[in-house]
Amino acid sequence: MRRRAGGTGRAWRTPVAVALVSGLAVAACSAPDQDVAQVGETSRSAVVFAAASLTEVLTELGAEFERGHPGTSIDFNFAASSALAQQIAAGAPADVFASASPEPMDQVVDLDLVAEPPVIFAANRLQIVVPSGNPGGVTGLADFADPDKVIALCAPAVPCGGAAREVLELAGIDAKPDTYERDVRATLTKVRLGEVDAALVYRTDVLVAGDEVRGVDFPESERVVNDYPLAALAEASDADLASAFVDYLRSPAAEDVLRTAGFDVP
Amino acid sequence: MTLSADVRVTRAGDFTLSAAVSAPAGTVTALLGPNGAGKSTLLRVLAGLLPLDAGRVVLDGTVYDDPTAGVLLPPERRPVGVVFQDYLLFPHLTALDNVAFGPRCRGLSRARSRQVAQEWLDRVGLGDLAGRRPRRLSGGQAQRVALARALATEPRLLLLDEPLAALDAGTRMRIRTELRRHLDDFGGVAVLVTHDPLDAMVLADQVVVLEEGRVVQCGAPREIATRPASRYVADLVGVNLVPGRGLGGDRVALDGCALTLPGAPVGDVLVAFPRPRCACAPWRRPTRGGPGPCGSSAWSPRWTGSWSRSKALPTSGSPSPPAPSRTWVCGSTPGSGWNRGPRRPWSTRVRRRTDRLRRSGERSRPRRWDRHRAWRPPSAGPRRGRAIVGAWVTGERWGWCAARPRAARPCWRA
Amino acid sequence: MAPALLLVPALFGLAFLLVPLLGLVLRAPWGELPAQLGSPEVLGALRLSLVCATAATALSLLLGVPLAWLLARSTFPGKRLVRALVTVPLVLPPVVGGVALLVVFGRRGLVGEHLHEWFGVSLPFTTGAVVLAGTFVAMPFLVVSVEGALRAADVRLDEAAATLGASRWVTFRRVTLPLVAPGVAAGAVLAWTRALGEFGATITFAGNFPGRTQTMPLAVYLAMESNPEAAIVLSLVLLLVSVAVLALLRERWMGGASR
Repeated sequence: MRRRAGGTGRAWRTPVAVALVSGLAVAACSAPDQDVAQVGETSRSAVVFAAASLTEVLTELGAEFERGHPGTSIDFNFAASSALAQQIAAGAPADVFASASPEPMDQVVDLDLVAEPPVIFAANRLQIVVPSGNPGGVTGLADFADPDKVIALCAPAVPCGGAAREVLELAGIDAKPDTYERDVRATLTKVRLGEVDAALVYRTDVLVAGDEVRGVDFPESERVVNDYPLAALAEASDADLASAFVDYLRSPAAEDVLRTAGFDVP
Repeated sequence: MTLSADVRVTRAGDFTLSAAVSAPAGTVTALLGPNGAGKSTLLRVLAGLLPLDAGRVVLDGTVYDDPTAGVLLPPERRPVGVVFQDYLLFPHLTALDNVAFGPRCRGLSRARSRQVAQEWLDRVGLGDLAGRRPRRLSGGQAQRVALARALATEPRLLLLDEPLAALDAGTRMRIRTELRRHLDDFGGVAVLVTHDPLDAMVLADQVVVLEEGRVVQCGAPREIATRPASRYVADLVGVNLVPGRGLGGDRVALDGCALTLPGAPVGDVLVAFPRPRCACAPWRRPTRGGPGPCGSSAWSPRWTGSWSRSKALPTSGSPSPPAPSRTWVCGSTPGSGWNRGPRRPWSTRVRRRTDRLRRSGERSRPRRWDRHRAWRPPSAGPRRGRAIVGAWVTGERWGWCAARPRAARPCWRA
Repeated sequence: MAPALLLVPALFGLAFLLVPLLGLVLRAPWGELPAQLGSPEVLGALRLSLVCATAATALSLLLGVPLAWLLARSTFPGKRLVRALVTVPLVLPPVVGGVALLVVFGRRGLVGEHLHEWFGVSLPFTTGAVVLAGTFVAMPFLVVSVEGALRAADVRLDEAAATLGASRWVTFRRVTLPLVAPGVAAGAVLAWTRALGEFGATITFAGNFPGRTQTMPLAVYLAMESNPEAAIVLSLVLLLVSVAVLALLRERWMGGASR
């Protein structure tokens, strides 16, 4: 045992010595340059839990942010907002939460897990999506009531499913879906593969899918707009970086990127 | 009704079986040979479990296997019954269902096949064990169930693969006797694979000796026993074959000595020495000047035929002569001392034959024989001597050409 | 007494397996259990799960036992490769299996296209798709188990049957199959449990619609999104049902076999 303790002692003695020497060196130089200090710091990182529908746009914005703030890294965990809220409530190490609807955020807020009140940084609208070529001949929301057409909707428990239900109710349509997919991306995938004739997904998702699918606008979509709340979390490991990223997402530069991706920006 | 098989099969590796066997109905043919001789391969070919590479298998005029003609009957379409070495009873079926399996497969109704099975079990004396699973049968019982199972399909060709090998000595003797009775009743052709010469002698009408995939000898058991054509057969039936050279004038030179054998030809010969239970060789130093006379042999050698490179033995097959080897000659010839021989039970049948020969007084001196018997050391236990036809003690003594006995315990003559 | 080097990890291993289940039991809102159990959604999902798992097992037996026989008893070129491929679904993430099934049996899939064109059959989003997904992930378990049993069984018994006049099929039915019955039973139980718990391939290939394709695991997953308590209750139900069925099967089959 004693030998072992001795070994451990030797092992940590070296770094301490290095730290002392480098501390002396810094003191000796005594030129407090902000940039140098920042670069010399160990890299800072924040973990962002974000709704699956934000995957592409936030990945892009995260990279942009990292370029603007050297030495930082933004890591993402994309999933259904409700699942993310569950994970945050269960103590997952998250710094920022970007939800695709207010309900999951409310859960987090109710548990007092946010650092500051959430803000709406983007909004999304539903769009009918059909495979390219529109094999089912879907033209509007009314086709969702046709039992012969294969229709996919998001599960009611996830935000896009809630929104879809709301839109269909507003339009007075008794939809006959064949499947309730677990999230918006799974729904979109079924369209991309041509397994369903139509689905209701976010406009942004339709853009992401590119040529494989086609979006069909419908008037009722205006009446159900999905707000995306955003908040830095109370148990963030790096509160400064978290709030800096939240601020960045509300900057004009970020708003442009969001708009390009199909989001509405309030 | 006859079986005629000309079998050529090459197995993985470079083992080639090339053997011709024919047998009339109502006879039992024993395939005798060491492990790896191809006995079981031949049996598998006859059963249809192994296709021929070349040759022909014909039973009662029906061709079962002929590669050149493109004929190959699968085993289930051959009228064969097989008793496998470890019986291969179906473990999930009762004895009755095991026996009923064949008749049922050959188209009998369930009830009828069970009835047939019960009859067969009764015949082999196991009628009251019909409900037992094989796991709860003894070795002898399982063997009899296997025989009943093979016979229940009323085959015309009965194949037995080492049917007695898995039995202990006591059971084996009883089952062998029973098997003989069933084979006597069997009207078809029976082929029996064995490496035990006693099985072959007791059960078979014809013995085919296989060595390294070839038939080296073929004949009646008695002929095989008295005129072994190869060292293996000689070892099996209890004689030692020593290569020698006929010098003319009834003289034969062996490895290190010479002896007188009336009628010995000139040239290469094989001299058969019976393997004694207890050999007695007066130990004498070699005389100077080469081989001395062997006139003092304790055992009278008989001889089995002449060997010549250009001429086959009188018996069938063409064995190569055993390589002369000093250790072999001296280690197994009568002069080598105590030689226990392989452990084999004494069959009453063979003993009777021996007794008969002894009574006939053919070159025998019972008095000496008895004396030898009396010298059997206690360690020999209850085992009896081997059935050796024609091995009798004479007044002669075996000369000095025997090497000193090795680890074996010598039994000196008083 | 077992050596500590074995005993300690063994106990940790046991705890690791049992504590999560215990947590489920402890956290379960037992009060809600009767209500949840009585709800048509849960009953529907449960019934669907049991029916589909059983159907998948039956299908696995129908296809898997002959496949295992082929792998164990016959020789053909590329057999090793085939054996490796058969076990691929064991290591494949089930979602990938679901995608693969969709690519083949989907409406635009390699096979599904023709099914749709010629027979008007569309497999995705049907109960049949759930069974197919379950079979895809469960059959390898059965094949591996039965093949092992077949390899262990004595081929010479088949030969003995042949010499008694049994055709290959009769031999298989009356000799081979009874001999490997314990292996088949074990494989079937494994396959059944695997199919019962199947999630990834099901939700990817069969979709999720209550009463038609929403099995218990899917119901648990989606309940987790909105009502975690309900998810726990559903998990518990699934747990209880699997334990009960396994216990029953063990009594009936495995117990009989290991006697």
